[in-house]
Amino acid sequence: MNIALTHLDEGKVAVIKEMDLDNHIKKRLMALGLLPNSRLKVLRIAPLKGAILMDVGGYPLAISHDLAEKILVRELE
Amino acid sequence: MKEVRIGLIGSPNSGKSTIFNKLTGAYQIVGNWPGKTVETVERAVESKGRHFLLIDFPGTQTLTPTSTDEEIAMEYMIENSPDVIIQVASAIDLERSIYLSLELIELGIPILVALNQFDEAIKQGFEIDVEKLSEILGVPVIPTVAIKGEGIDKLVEKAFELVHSKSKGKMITDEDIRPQINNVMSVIKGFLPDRYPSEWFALKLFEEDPWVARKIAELDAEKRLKGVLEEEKASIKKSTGMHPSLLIVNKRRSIAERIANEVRKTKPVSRSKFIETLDSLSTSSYGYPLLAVVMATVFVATLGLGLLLRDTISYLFLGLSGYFAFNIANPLLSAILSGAQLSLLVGLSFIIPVVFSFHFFFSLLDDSGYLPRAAFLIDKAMRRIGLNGKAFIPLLLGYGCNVPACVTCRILEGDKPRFVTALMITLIPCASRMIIIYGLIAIYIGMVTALAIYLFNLFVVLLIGMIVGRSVDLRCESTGLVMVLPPYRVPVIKNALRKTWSRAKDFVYLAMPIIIIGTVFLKMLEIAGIMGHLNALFNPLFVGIFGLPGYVLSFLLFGAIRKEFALVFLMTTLNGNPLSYLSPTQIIVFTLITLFYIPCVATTVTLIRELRLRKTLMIIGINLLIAIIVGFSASVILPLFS
Ligand SMILES: Nc1nc2c(ncn2[C@@H]2O[C@H](COP(=O)(O)OP(=O)(O)OP(=O)(O)O)[C@@H](O)[C@H]2O)c(=O)[nH]1
Ligand SMILES: [Mg+2]
Repeated sequence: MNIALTHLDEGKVAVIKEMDLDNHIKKRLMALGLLPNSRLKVLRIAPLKGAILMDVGGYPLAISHDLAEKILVRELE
Repeated sequence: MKEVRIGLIGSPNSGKSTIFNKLTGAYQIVGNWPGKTVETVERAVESKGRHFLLIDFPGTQTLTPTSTDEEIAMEYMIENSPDVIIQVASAIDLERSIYLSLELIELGIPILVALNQFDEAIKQGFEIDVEKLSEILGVPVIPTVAIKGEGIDKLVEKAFELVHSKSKGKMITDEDIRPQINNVMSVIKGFLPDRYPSEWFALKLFEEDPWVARKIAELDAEKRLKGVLEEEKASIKKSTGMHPSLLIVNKRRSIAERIANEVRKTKPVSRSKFIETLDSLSTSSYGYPLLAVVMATVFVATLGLGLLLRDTISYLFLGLSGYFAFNIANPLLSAILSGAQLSLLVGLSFIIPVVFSFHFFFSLLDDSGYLPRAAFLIDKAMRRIGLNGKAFIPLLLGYGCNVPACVTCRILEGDKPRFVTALMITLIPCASRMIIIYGLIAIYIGMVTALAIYLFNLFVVLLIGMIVGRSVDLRCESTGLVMVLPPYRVPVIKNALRKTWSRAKDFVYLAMPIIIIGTVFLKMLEIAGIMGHLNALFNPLFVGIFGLPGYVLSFLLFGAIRKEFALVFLMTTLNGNPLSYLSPTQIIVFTLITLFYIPCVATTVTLIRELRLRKTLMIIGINLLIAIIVGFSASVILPLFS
C-alpha cells in the first residue's frame, strides 16, 4: 500500500511511487534523485511535523513537510 | 589574441571558490553551506606562464534555475559564455555531479570535470574509476583536492588543451526524442541569434525551462514556435506515455545513476564516531536547545572577549598616549587633537574587539557545516511565516552584516520570500549594532540585559515576518525547502582568520577614518555652538516621544551612515562617560531605537539593487515605524521596573 512519505518512521527504507506536485518542483526533486521507483531512507523527521531529512543515493537531502506529504511511497521491509 | 576565459561551474558547495582563490590569490568567501557565491566574479590569472580570465560562478544544482543565484549563473554562462567550463564536481555526491555534467555537455561548450573533494570520497570508502568516467562522458576528468591545491595545475593545463581542440562531450540524454528535437530546432534556427546554442534551446524547451522560455519571449518568437512545440510534445507523450519535461529529467538522472554505479565501488569504512554523534544530535529534537546554546555561546563569547580585550586595549592606548600628552593653547587645534585621540581610543576599544571576535566565532561555525542543519530544524517555524528553512541562512548572516545577508536572499525562490526575508534582515542587529549593544548595554547595564535585548529583537523580527508575510500573502508564492546537506567538516583556524579579516576589514579601512574625521567635525560644531541649537530644536520632539535629549538625533544621523557611528559619536560627545549624561532607561531606549530605526547607507544601496526602490522605501518605512513604537513603549514601560 502506498503511504505519504511523512508517515514513515526514522530509519525506514521506502520506494517512491507517486509525486503529486507541480512539474516545476517535481523536476527539481527528480534531478536530485527522487525518481519514481527509486529508494530513499528516512534519516530524520524534525519534531512537530517538521522537515524530513533523507538519504537519497548516499547523500542527505532535506525537504519540507508540506512537500513530503505529497510524495507517496511504498515501505520496504 | 583574445584572452581565454575559463568558467568554474558546479553544484553549490563543491569547492569552486576554493579553486578560484587558489588560482587568483583573491578572496571569495568560502564556507561549508550552499549559496555563498551569489554573483559571478572575474579575475585575471597568471599561472605557470599561462594567462587567462577565471570566472567564479554561483552554485547551480541543475541548469534549470529555481532561484536568483542560479539564474544569474545561467544568464552569464549563456550570454558571456566562457571558452571552457571547468565543472567543479563533488566526488562524494557523484550522481548529482554527473547529472550536471550531462547538462553541461548538452550545452555544447567544451568542459572538463574537476572531481573535487576527492580526499573525502576516499575517506568515505569510495573508489572512483576516473578514467572510465572520462571515457563514458567523453570529457577529461581530473581528481582534485582544492583545499590542498592538488590537481589544480593539471586542471589548467587540460583546460588549455580544450581551448585549442574544442572537443566536446557526448550528448546522451536525447536518444529517444531526437526527431522531435530536430523538428523544433529547425524552427528555432530561423530566429535564434547565432550566439545561442540552438540544439540546447530545443532540448530545454521540451524540458520547460523557465529561463529559456523567457529568452524566447524576449525574442518575440513564442507564436512561431507554439504550434510545432505543442505538436512535438504531444508526439513524445504519445510514444512514451510521459510528460516530455519529466521524461528528460528522469532519463538524465537515471543515466547519471547508472554511470555513477558503473565507475564507483564502495567499500565499508568506519566513520568518525564523534562526527556521527554530532550529526545525529544536531538534527534531532535536542538540536533546538543545541541551537539556542550555540547562538548564545557566540554572543556571550563575543561580548565576553570584547570586555576582556577592551581593558587591555584601552590600557595600552592610555599608556601610550601618555607619551604624547598635548599641551596646546589654540582651542581649535587642541579640540582636533583630543577629538582624534578620543575617537581612536573608542574605535580600538569598542569596535575592534567585538567585530573581530564575532566574525571569528561565526566563521568557525559556518565552516563546520552546522548552518544547513540548523536550517533543516528551523524549516517548520519558517514555514509558519511562509518562508522555508533556507531563509534561515541569510537571516543568520544578518547578525554579521546586513549587506551580504540581503544579497544572499538570492538563494531563495520567489520575489515575496526575498522581500520578507530582506525586511527581517534589516531588523537583525548586525556586528555594528552589536558594538552598540556591547558598548552601552553589556558594559553599563549588564550581560543579562544584553542577551534580553537580543531575545526581544528576535521576537520583533519573527513578529514582523509573520505580520508582513501574512499581508503580502507569502504562502501562495513560497515553495518548501529542498536542500542538499554537506557533511560536517573540521574548521581550519587559518581559513577562519582569513574570512574574519575579509568580513571585518571595512571597520578598519572604512569606518575608522570617518570616525576620526566625524569626531573632529562634531567637536568643531560644539565649539561653534551649533550643537546647542540642534539640541533646542529637537528637544521637544525627542523628550516628548522617547524621553531622550534632542542631541541624540545627531548620533542617529551618523548611525544611518554606519550603525556603530551612533555609539562612537555618543561616546566621544559624552566624553566616554554616558552614565553621567543619560539614565539607564534612556540608554536602553536609545539602544533599542538604533536596532530598528533605519537600514544603514550600504544596506539601503544593496536593497535598492536587489529589490528596487519601491520595496526599499517600504522597508525603510517599516523600520522607522517599529523604532518609534518600540522606543516609545520602552520609555513608558521601563521606568515602571526600575
Ligand atoms: N575535504 C575537502 N574539502 C573541500 C575541498 N574543496 C572545498 N572543500 C570545502 O568545501 C566547502 C565549500 O567550498 P567552497 O569553495 O566555498 O564551495 P563553492 O563551490 O564556492 O560553494 P558556493 O559558492 O556556495 O556554491 C568548504 O568548506 C571547503 O573548505 C576538497 O578538495 N576537500
Ligand atoms: Mg563559491
